[in-house]
Amino acid sequence: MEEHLFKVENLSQVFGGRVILNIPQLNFSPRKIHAITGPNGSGKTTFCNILSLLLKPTAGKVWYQGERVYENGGITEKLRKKITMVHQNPFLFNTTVEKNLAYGLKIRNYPRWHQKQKIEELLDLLGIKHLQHQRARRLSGGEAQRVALARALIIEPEVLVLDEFTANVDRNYVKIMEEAIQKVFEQKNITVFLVTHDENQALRLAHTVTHLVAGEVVDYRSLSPG
Amino acid sequence: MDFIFEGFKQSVYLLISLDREVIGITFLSLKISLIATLLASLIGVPLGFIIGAYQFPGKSAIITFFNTLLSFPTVVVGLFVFAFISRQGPLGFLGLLFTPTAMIIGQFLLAIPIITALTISAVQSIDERVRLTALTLGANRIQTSIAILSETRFALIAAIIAGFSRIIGEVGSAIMLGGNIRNYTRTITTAIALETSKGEFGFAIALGLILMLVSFFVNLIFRYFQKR
Repeated sequence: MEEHLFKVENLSQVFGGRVILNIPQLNFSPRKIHAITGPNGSGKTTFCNILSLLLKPTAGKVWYQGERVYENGGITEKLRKKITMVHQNPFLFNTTVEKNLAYGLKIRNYPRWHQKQKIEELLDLLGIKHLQHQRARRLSGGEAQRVALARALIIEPEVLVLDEFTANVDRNYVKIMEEAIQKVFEQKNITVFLVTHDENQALRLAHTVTHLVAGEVVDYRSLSPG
Repeated sequence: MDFIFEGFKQSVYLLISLDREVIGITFLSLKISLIATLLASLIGVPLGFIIGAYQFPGKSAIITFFNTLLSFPTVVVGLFVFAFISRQGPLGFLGLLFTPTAMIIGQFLLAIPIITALTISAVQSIDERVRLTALTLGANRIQTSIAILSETRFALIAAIIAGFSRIIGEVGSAIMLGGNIRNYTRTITTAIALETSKGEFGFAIALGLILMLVSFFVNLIFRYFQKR
């Protein structure tokens, strides 16, 4: 039997009487890049908010590694430490890049020397060492996106959810960001959910593509990226 | 017009010679207002955070209540506290009337609505992404609240400074609750009121200049944090 990272059953999300999401069944395997595609308003961000444990669905069941989520606040809080998300317009705390990166480690009580070591490693990995002492609010869109990615990766998540991670960066940055994702995926051996409206990007990077239209899965494909 | 000019001359002399009474009154004023601001912040900031960050029935009425208190006349607050701590009042046995403690209580009550109301507004205007970001990085409820407070830190400092500004310059409750006793409860504002009525313009102007200087620096700090 295939091992599932996420298992979703009869999932639905309703906002103001309108059905935003309706997924009878869907499974995702671990250590793969899963693209969630679809036009604007197709429910892909809502779906990823649910997978990121940020939004309790109106109805349905979600399991993470066999554990039912959203049933018990304690379990959800515990699992949230393993799943992280980088939003389309990431919010950076009003401090330096270094302190932004340190946040996730601090709340996990990592010793200071370990924080420093990990910050250096992530800054190197994403090629943003020169931004270390800069104030986060002064960064460009592309730089902010990379800092947000570094801040998410530093906590060594099992799952990384990226919501339209190249939507607000200029074309030069798209390639850099895609390469960074590929590099991170290979080096960290994690599961990545890639929310994108760009189907070519999904085909370039992902192992599976789930296509949503009006909150329903209209296509699911397994492929080899390349 | 001569008396104004003479008053200024005398005030400059008092300030340059670091007149002991002027300095004493200034320090007492600062001490009372700083203690009152600190106590009001310890209650007003967490209270404002809870009201601003959480949803509960009657929230809107509570916010309106605090906004109404913003313009509460200082003499009414003085009267209210006076009624409680005067000899016939329920807390009369504590012997607080005409003491610096009574003045701190009055100023504390004046500062709380400002600090609370400005904290509520700061927390309500915070970007929702702060909460989501903290959650996605694995923060629990308390850590998320700390992240929100940390992001509003400049607005909170501005709220505390606004509270201090209101009470350092108020005279109504200070005179009613402190009694303007020399070397004991005489503050900058109560001394100005007294010295002016006595015709001691030099002394009053010297204290007035100090109060303006304090206000100037406080506003400078306030502006600095507002711009952050």
